[in-house]
Amino acid sequence: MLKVENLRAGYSGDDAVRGISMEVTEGSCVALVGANGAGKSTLAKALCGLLTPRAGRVFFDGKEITGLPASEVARRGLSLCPEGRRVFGPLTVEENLLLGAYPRLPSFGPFRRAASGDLQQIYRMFPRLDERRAQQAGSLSGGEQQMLAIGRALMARPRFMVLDEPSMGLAPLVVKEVFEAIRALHSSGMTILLSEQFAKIALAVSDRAYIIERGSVVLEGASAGLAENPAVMAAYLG
Amino acid sequence: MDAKYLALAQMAVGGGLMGMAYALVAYGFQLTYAAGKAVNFGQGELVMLGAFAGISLSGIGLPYWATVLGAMVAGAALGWCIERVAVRLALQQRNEGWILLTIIVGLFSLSLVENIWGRDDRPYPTPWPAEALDFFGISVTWPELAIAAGALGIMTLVELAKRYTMVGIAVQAVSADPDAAELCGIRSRSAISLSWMVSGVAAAFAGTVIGPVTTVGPTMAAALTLKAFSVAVVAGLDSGFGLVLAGIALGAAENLSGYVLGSGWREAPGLILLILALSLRPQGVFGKKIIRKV
Amino acid sequence: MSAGVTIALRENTSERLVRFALFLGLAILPALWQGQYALGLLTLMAVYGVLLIGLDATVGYLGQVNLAQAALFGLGAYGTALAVQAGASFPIAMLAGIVAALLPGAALALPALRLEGPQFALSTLSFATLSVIFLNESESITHGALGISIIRPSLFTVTLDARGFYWLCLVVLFLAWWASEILLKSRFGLSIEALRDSPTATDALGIGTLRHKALAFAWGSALAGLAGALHALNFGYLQPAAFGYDLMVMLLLGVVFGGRRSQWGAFAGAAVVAMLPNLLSNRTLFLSLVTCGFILTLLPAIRALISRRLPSFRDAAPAGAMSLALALALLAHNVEDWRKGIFALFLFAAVVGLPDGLAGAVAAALHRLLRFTPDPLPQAAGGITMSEEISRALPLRTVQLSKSFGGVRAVDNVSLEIGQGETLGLIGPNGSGKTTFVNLVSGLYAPDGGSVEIAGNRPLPGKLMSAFSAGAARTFQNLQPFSGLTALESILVCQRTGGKREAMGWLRAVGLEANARDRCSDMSYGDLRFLEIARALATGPRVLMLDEPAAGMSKQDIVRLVDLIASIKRAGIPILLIEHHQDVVAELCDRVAVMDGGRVIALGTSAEIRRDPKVIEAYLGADDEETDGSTEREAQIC
Repeated sequence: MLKVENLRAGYSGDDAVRGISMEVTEGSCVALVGANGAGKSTLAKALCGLLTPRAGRVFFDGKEITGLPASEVARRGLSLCPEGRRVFGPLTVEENLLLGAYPRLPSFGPFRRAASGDLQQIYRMFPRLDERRAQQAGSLSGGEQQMLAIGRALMARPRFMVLDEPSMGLAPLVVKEVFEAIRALHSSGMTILLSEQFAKIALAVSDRAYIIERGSVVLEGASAGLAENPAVMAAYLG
Repeated sequence: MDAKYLALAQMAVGGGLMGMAYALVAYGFQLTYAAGKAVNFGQGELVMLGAFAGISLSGIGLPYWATVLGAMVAGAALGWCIERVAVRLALQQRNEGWILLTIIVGLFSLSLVENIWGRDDRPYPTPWPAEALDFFGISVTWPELAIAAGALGIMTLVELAKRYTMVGIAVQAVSADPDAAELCGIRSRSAISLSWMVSGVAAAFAGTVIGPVTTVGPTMAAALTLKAFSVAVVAGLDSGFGLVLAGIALGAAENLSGYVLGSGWREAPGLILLILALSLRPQGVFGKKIIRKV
Repeated sequence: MSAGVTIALRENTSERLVRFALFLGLAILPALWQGQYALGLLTLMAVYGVLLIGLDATVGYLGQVNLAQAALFGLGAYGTALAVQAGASFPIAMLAGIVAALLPGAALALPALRLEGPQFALSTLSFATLSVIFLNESESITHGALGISIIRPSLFTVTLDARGFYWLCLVVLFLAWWASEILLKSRFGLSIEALRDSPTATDALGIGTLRHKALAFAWGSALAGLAGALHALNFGYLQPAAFGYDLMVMLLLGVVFGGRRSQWGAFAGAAVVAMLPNLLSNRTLFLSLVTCGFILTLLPAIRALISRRLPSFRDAAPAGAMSLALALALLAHNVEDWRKGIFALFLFAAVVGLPDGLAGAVAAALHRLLRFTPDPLPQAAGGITMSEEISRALPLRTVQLSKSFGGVRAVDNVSLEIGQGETLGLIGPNGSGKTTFVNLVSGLYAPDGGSVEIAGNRPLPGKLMSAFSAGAARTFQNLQPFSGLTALESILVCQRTGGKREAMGWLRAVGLEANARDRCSDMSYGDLRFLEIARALATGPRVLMLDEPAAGMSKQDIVRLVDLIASIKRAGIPILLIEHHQDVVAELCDRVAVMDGGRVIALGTSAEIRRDPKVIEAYLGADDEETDGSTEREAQIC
């Protein structure tokens, strides 16, 4: 479903992603695991069009999407739930969710009605968002914001979801909650690419994983096997 | 009531109503600032172009409401143009060049107006009744009421559209976080263009309601930009209806100081207040503080 | 292109020689070229030259759009005119002009300089409008719109004729140019350039942003007054309307077209501003100039087409503007009616097509063609040593420091200490609050609760300068280089004491001695990271905070970095090191604090930290069973 060929990307200075190739098949959950600063977020941004790659190609559903603007990539069914959540702070929870479905909703017509089915589904999945639907997103706690960000990405009815550091800055108990939601999403058939610094939990959720160190893939394979591999530990604590 | 106080009250009310027009032009600043952190230093020229467009349309025999609509369409086109020609490039380079470029576009518009419509002031024909209304001894003319109603009407309309249409919510999303908005499939650039178009509409509309009160000429532009900018900055570039209060206050202060100090001085208190307000609260009286990130 | 003519002179010397020749030529020009008209234009050019050199101090060096210069020019002119009317002698009248611009300029500077961008432009615009109103309305003093007439007094005993006055203007221009050059190439001028590139970094490194801005603005105002004085003595007749918005736009055109941050640019701009209005009356000359301009602006678009890509907006826009100007020049009945429009089109083409102006473009071309003898670099001196007095106080102590953004507690009750000569590592997952902690300590943010103590001092919360005075110096996770300065200059502006030799010493200490002359904008990312450390060291800090210095560095650079930090440590300078690379932390840090979710969850030696199950969990995430246990443990700690 997603194929990446020899991708290089970065901001200023050296490439943060140095020639990564990878593949995600339909219906699978693949984890990108590595310490922070390894280049996972840069990779996620380059996939979704927020960052133009310096070299390499990205294919989605067999069509090349390298260098397309993020809004175009999103409209093709690839949804990124970004690092640091990036919810629209001044808007309400419900408006945030509605924005996720933006390309599908009528620009001026009764958009709430058009999206009510999807909204109900998200609220069923995250009841706490339902309680706070009229509240400003910026006033939510970190965990709630993460749920909102996932909900917003889901509202696009994506065929493929990239979750970038869903655990960032969250307390352990909340991390667990978020990952249960991800697991449920996966078992409902969603294809997921999960970029995550917490190796254990990421490997527990995913089918396959790529271990990334300093911008390159150092190990790849079935998650169950990698979880036992001492090299994974080494990638973190040196 | 004492005749002197009545005259002062009359001045304040007239100025306040005119101030609503400043608020409307200032509202145009807010729209574009929210979307792309840039404002049009040639906004007064847009108001002027809108007014002249309206005059030309009424010259070919169109009724007032049609001239207003025509001017608004022209305003939208001009707003789009300015964003495309002057602002986008400079903002991509993240420098202050857009300030210069919008001044330049304004200067060009001014020259255009001087050569197409001439340098003289012209009246803006309206169907309003000539007699004034009387409220407790204070007279208010129909064109003045049209300013207030029009300004409040347009601002309310746009604010409602921002809250209750998907496009409006999307524009707000772009102003909060352009990257995240892109991830939702919103084309940030289009949203910014749209904001400039609406800003242009507000300016051109302002021209069609200010024109009947003041007459229309090339000299109106620079003063209007400055006043509207003062209103926007005093209220805060991110505060919604604080504008109306600031606009009314400025308009009233202007008229009163013109009355008390002489007509040449009418703009001075507003300007002094502006410099003071800026130095005490750079983010505006109603604005929020900005957090620096490194 | 690198092959060029080598000149056996230094760049500065050559520039001075050319400038001297220019002034000599200008001085003998009236002798060759008779006529009052030409002499008038030359005088005007000299006056505008002084004015634009002043405007360049704010628009160019400060990088702020200043719309008050025309008004200050007017105030200066009126000041001189009124002094002459009161019977003042020539020099006193000139002085009166300078003061008449400098005082209001200073009054404006105090509030306006706290502002940036559009707010600054607006406040100067308001000031300009106010000044013109004042000149118009104070009829008892200025005769309002009628204007004011004076007769030029004699200079001491000499009565200056038009040519004599032109020479005087030339001398003043020469002096203003020379003084500006000295001022703006001094440490003061470098600081101004630095703060334009990164006001956050200059505040954090103790280069007082406000003070420098105010001085630059004052210098610009004084030159405006001086130019105004010459203007009044030149024309002998003043009207308020002449100093309005139109003149201001012309002046901006001059500075932008001539080239910002360059006295040559200001001079070229002055020539354009003085000549342009008069060019419009000579249609043939004007037409040929516009045609030349149009052809020049076509070049970028043609170049794009040759390399087979569609010309970008940036390539094509100047040509579009110039083609409009050409159309106007050909078709308009009277070109002078379109004055403003044509200026606008020129200005547009210049801002978009020549971002560095005429002077910048010429300088770039000369640098490609000629090679000058480089300035000699001084011998390096000094190096990494601890500042003289060693106080007993703890270098850094925070007590229950907290900061929230929205609903998220970014830093939650953090109490940390750094002892004398200690290196404390601060690690933790992304978003755990490390950088926010440094921002709180260095005064970028004011904490919601808790306190910071640096070397026994308590800086004002949320004030970078105050934290700096207390002894804090830092580097930034996202680089904040002074792009317009060279490596050596970057150090010079940060030093508390010492000169070039010491600055070279700091560069040597971080291994950048060979890069001393390189501009920051041309340096590699890794080198800039080292330069930031050198900058912080040059301030002589009591505690040095390094925010992810190894981020984005290559492996070899990291090895260099570890050596450098080790030598800083040996010199006894206390360090707070935020770092992702565990090997770096393990090698350098005496103690390591681990942050997670805004709190410090562990504190100890590197080896202890590595064994701590809470830390392993924070980094690797917990399995389901362990999570419940860990929350209980955390509950006990709290």
